[in-house]
Amino acid sequence: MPRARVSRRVFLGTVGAAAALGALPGVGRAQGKEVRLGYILPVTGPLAFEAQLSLNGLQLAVDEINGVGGVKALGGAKLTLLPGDTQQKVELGNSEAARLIDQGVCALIGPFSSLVAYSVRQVTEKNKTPFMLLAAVADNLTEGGLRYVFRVQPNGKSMATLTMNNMFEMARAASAPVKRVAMMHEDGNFGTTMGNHVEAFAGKLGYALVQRIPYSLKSPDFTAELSKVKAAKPDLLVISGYYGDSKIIAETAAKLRIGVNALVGLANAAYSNPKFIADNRELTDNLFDGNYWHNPQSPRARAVFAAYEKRFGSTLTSHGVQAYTVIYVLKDALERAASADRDKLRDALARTDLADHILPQDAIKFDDTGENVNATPALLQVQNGKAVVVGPARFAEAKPVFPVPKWHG
Amino acid sequence: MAAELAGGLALGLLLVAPPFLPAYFLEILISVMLFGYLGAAWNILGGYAGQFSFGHAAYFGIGAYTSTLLFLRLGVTPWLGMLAGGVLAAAFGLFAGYLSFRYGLRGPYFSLVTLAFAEMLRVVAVNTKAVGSSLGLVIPSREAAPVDFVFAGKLPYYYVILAMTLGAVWITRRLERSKLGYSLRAIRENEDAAEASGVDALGMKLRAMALSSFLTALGGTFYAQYFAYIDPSITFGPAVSIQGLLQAIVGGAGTVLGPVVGAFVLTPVSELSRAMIRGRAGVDVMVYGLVLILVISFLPNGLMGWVSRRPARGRS
Repeated sequence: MPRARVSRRVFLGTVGAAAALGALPGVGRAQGKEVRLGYILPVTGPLAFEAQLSLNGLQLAVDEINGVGGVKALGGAKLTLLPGDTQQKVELGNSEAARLIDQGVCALIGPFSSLVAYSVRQVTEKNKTPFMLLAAVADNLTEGGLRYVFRVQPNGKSMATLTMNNMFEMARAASAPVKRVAMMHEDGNFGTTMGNHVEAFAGKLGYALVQRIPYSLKSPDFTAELSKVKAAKPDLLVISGYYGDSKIIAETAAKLRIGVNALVGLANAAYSNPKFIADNRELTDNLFDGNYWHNPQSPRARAVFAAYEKRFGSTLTSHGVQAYTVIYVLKDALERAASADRDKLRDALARTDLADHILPQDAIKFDDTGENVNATPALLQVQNGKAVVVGPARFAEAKPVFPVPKWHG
Repeated sequence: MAAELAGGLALGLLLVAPPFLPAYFLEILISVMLFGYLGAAWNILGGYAGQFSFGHAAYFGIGAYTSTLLFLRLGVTPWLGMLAGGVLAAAFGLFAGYLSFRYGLRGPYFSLVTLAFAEMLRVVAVNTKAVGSSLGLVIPSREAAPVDFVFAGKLPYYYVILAMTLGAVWITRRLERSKLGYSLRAIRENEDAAEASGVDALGMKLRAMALSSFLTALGGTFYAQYFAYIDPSITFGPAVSIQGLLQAIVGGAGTVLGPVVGAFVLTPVSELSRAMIRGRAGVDVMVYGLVLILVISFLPNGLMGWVSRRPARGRS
């Protein structure tokens, strides 16, 4: 049998064609019953670590559902997750979304960053594909009469105002009323959104925002800013920031003996993070944080945490909780729609009324804009090296320590 | 002859094929065209005049913000806002250019100053509430209105950016054969010698700066209309500056088609590596990086430089 000679050109051509085919939608599509869900997350780039936490949550939920018989209303169809990587770039968000839609996903989940979400939502809207926002907080993402955008987690406004509310209720109960608030936030979209709401909410809750200091994530030092805060004599210091900056702020505040009743993180990436707490026991004791969380009273939540720990060898985080919940919201809608048709799925999502979940809130329901009407952050406090829920009262697992002696100066 | 035939064929494909492409390929093609366009705009200053700007995001951002603000606040159609942005960007380019060239900043010093100008504008935008600060500006999704640079599907956007890219290439071609083009190349090769032979280096460089920043700003407006959201980190951030110069350098800085060729190679390489190595986060970015390293170390004059050198090598 003559051996076929494969010249370099033929080889390259074949490889190229194969690659092109791989990228083509619809070619080699798996047969059998499956429902395709696509995610677009920044799995490479500066947010890769956090994106992975979300991805773990998605996978855990998908495997759980597939393990107990898939989507029953669709004859036990299995859920398949199709990957998309945005690298935190707007144009990649768009093209990855378009690719996944071409590949027949019935819903898209992502994209972590609000910046990317703005343009992706136009792609999903034009293609009539349900888009479940994950981790993107900007309030106006659901505005503009969009029909296919849904958000389970609290948006920026609920996050900020409900956290301030929880904090004030707690302060009143501890008979240490709060009059003066200082705020420091990173100067990007996330921090500025939080800062704007804390400022706008002052009148309603009756506090004075005595200092508002936006800062750059690149700042190596916050002594000047915190000295200004100290001079303004606030009762509370609220901080919206990412990991590194929030850590330096807490350290510097301790060094300056800042003299407030409490340090309160607002959707803070560090103050309720298990690793941060473990590495900084002294510093983190009694820190508050209003954040995305699970319901500690829910037995199901405890089971999910155990399953996560077993599979990934780390503690489930709030990113994972949100992602896990989104999959179950989609599954619930698929069951009710009894179809993987995007439009039918969208209508079912709009009628969601899901009580069996692990979030610290009542049933998950969406309003006309696609926001979860009952979305609530939890108020957490670090006690004995662990972030525990101290508010709202019905989900609380511990009594708050307030005012915090250490920060009191 | 063969080159012209290939060029004509490619152009024909670019004109005719897109309506038949799936959404994903159209998205990619629009990205390619936008990057190619930005590369072509950068190429005039960076490639022909040899002034490596690391801060073209400044002009891109001015373009995006000018047209968007005019549209959102005063209802001026972005088609006009685009020109206004271009003029403003050119004015800013002349200002930044005059300051840098007047004080004899060359090479890396010029590059650093341009980077600083872009960063400065970013910080100003972050701290100015009137332009949306860090929250950026959303162009509300509305009914299609071609008069207002809003189209129903992706296809019209594609043809707009295709036309812009062809325009930039045509301008570059005209430039190459003009007195300005010859002067710029003379400046690039040896500025002192050029001045000694009577080339008005400052004036010529400023002209290149104005043209390059004007064109870059138009790209900014296109970006804003297409992606419907701008913020300081996206439009004034270093990523935009790098995108433009990367296409030009890989494709061949100082050649007419270099930036477009660069875009047609770089974006597909990144997409292909992603398609082939999906699920292993990060590996595709390494492959992309490897391709960049190989191109830059083996083809220092870019792909076009390699193509134009080949016949000579074949003869020897």
